[in-house]
Amino acid sequence: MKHFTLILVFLFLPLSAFAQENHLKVELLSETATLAPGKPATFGLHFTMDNGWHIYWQNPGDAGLAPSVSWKLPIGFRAGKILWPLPQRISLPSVMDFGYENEVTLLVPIEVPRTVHAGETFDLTANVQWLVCKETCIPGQATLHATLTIGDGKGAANTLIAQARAQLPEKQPKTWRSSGTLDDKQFVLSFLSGTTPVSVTFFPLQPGQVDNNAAQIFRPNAKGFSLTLKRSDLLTQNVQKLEGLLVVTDHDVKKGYEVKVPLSSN
Amino acid sequence: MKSLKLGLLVLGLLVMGLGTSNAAKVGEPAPDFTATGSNGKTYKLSDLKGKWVVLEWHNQDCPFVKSQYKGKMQKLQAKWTKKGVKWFAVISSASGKEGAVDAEGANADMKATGSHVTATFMDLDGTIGHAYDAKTTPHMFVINPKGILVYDGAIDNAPLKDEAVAKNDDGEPFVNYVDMALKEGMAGKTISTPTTAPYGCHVKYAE
Repeated sequence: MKHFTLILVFLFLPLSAFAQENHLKVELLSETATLAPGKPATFGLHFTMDNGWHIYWQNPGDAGLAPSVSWKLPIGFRAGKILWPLPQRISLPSVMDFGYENEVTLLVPIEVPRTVHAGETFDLTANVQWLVCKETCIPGQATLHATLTIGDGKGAANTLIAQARAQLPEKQPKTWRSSGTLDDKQFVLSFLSGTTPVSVTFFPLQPGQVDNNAAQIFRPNAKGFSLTLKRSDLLTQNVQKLEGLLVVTDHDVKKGYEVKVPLSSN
Repeated sequence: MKSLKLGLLVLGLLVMGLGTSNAAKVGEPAPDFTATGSNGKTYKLSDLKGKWVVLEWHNQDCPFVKSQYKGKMQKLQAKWTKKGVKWFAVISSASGKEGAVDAEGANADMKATGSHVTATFMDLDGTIGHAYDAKTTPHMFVINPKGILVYDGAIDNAPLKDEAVAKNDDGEPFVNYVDMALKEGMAGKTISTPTTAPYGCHVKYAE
């Protein structure tokens, strides 16, 4: 009987859309029940972590590693890069990580070729790798499968994917002006945004530029705000611009903007 | 007036204190220290002037370290220690935390992995770790024969790749930064990548 159960488990494993691993569950989701020929589709990797455990944003901060995925797709299908919902600062003794606690859905756009027809089905495989950490870190990986049916691509969108989409950063508003300075101690970024938010947090896209663990000094003013960030000791040469994610909180609304601030060096 | 002077002096000392809080900086003298090896010997960094020195932050249970110790790290240690480089693993895990071992445990780990380090430093109170602001395992530092810190950062650009790879996950050619720094430094060249962001597990310091 025991052997029988074991065999069943092995039979089902290769077809599963989810995996339960150490301190983490990951599931592959499709945004819609069917995919339309020639229309971009979105898939989600929904991670659920045990209490206190986290996975990482694309720049993991002082330690860790961002999750990654490689796809095995039918001919003509193409996967884009991971789209990352807004991360949070996760403070640990003397270091700062950027990532996600509790749960997160990472989105991946997939191009569907025009040459497929309604009613056809295709198999898709995602090989997902991650590092999940609390006090210690555990690397994990899972192979997730989904069967796609070609149809009209309509119908109710998956709720988790819709929620994640709402948490994706936007481009910096065209009406904003940004500039900054860099000296041997700090970056000072100024944004003429026309609004004065309640709080602002910056997540650098590249590691080794900003001191992740240092406090970020936010100063609202009549035309916008400025943000002072400590320079990382690892940044030995001045840079011309600072790229990152600006998370702006205005009352209860939290929004992320992808910014690229030109810098002048003092 | 006297109190003002005293105040300024105190302020000055405070500023100096803040200025030196991040002691280890590439291009500047590497912070000196005295360390006890798991072999029972005592080492003083300033006694090693004239030699190239590598410091490797170590935690035998960290997945990033384990991945390196499937062969890549030992090979690199063997290659450079044969050329006279003094290579030290440093354990800054506080007692009870991941990777915290006593001298016997460190020796057993070195034997089990076939490590080629010169010695393993027992830094369980984190003194050396904080002086270098070591953030991760493996966080790597290279010090030249004049005692100047010339490299601070990651071991390579391919985290968790057990085997030698031609390209990393971003499609960039594989680079081992420590190997490159030692190669360039010993050839009298400028070190082309003196800093990178270290990756790995957090160093498990005492809180």
